[in-house]
Amino acid sequence: MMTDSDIALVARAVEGDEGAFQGLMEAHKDMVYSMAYRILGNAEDAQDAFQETFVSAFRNLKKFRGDSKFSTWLYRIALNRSRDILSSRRRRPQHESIHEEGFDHAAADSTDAGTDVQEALSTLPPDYRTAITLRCIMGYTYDEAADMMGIPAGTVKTYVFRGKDELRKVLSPGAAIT
Amino acid sequence: MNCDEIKALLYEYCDGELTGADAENVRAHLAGCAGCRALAAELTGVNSLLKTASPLRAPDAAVSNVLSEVRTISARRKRAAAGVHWLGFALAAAVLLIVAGLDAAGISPIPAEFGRLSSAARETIFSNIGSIMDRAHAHSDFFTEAVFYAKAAGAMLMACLLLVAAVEEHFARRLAHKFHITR
Ligand SMILES: [Zn+2]
Repeated sequence: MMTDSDIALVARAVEGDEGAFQGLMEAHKDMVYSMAYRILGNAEDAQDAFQETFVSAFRNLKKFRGDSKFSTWLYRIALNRSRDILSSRRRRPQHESIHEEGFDHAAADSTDAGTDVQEALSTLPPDYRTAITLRCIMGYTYDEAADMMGIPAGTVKTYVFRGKDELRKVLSPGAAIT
Repeated sequence: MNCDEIKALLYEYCDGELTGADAENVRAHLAGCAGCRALAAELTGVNSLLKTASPLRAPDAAVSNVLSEVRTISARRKRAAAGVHWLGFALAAAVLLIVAGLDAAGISPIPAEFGRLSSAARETIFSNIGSIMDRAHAHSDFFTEAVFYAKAAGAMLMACLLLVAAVEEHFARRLAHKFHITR
């Protein structure tokens, strides 16, 4: 995750170097957007979370102490912004705009059966969806995901397993075993 | 091991995270239990679905929105920082005027108590002032800017009043001198 160059870029960005901040953004923009999109389920909210995350990161860059990886710090902000948006817009219909701009369909984001990952994820409670996004889609370890979510690693594991169990039932409605 | 015990291990088994005797037990159970085998197949199906989730590309519009917001914040910060320098200048001018005014009026400008403080105590006072300024800085840009401009305006007002007072004092003395009035 280019941690060394992140630290150098953060130091320069804190001094007011906008190019350095642009470099940080370049390195992490797709991960932040992907995380927000997987959790929020639509492009409009994901873009809001994305923008709020980077603006907040820029404002608070001085507070980044370097005791965690910059990416962990940044993704924690992204996660919090996504959660805020999720709770403030819960009344709105879910996954209304899965097929919007920014969603790369050419990348075969579905199985042969035509099941859309995003559609399946949207059926899960937010905590399960977040845990599965961090662990199974973005590939973080349980410890890293726990750090970002601010909960114990064992709880993340439980969320992942329960989430997978729910996905299993969604994907195989006729499942004999529960 | 019964089916429930196996199920508890099956998630990790399907993720390839189970090793040693546990993995061996699950493997042996699956060989003889069609139900658990079906469950494992479903979990494997979930895993392969999740693997198809490709990273998404952040829209260019979102990136440029952030960059323009960042430029606005930067510009505001630079203005606030310039305000700080200007404030420092105004404060220095005000302090000079106060000292000069008090001196002209024959009053010692620095309280005698301050001179009696130990150097450590004086050091503490100055560092407290510094940390208050730092904390003001850590607040939002708007707050920082507003506070500094308010302080700068106050300092300038004070400086102007002192200047007027000093000029008046000066002319009063000259007039008194000219007309031999003893004040
Ligand atoms: Zn069994």
